[in-house]
Amino acid sequence: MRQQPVRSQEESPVARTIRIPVALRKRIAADAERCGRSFEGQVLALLRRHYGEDVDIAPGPTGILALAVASLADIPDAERELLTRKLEERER
Amino acid sequence: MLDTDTLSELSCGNPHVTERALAYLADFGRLTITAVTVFERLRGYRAAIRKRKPFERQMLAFEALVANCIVLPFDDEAARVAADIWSATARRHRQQLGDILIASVAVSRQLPLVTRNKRDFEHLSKAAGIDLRLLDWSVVKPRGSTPNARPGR
Repeated sequence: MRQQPVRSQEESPVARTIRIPVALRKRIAADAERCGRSFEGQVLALLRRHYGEDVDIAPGPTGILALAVASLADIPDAERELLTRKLEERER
Repeated sequence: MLDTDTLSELSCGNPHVTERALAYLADFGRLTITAVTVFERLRGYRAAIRKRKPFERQMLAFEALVANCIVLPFDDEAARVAADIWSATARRHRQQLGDILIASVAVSRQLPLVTRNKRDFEHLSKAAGIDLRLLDWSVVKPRGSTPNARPGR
């Protein structure tokens, strides 16, 4: 089975809040409309085109909580116990 | 910084934990957990999938959750603190090795630890004489209580 390494902090995506001046916001919105994209999609397209990297939008609080719930969704209680079991030391 | 049980409660939809987590996320954008919790959960998924349990979708959701959390490593400073706690603790409390590792990350980074097992962690902090601040999101937040503590790095 393919083992996916857990990403280190340096490799993890970093979420940032970007404040965009009103005038620039209007220019981006106009470009987005012309290109048939959302505002956020336009910003991502610009970043991807300029840097050639896979930038994305971080989910909001409800999106993050939805991921948490999805991580145990549809798993019976007995199986959940195996997935949430804590690390224990068995001393001899 | 959330311990493994708190993240599990969140994943199970505990309403009190969810409410506190939403308020925290509104302030800080991401939850903070440790690599220990990532290990504890991922090993369960991997072992289950090896036994042909259909949990791939849930594991992907967990990995996406982790990608949107601040994951603190168990580093050399945490290892020193963990060794102090382990050596000062009675044998029956030593068995909760995951708790010792998580507590050591919180102490080494001077972060409050969110846990519903305050008593277990109090045993560790008392035995080792360490300053470990504990919060419990699974209880109703008292009126006028202090806001969420800043997560730090």
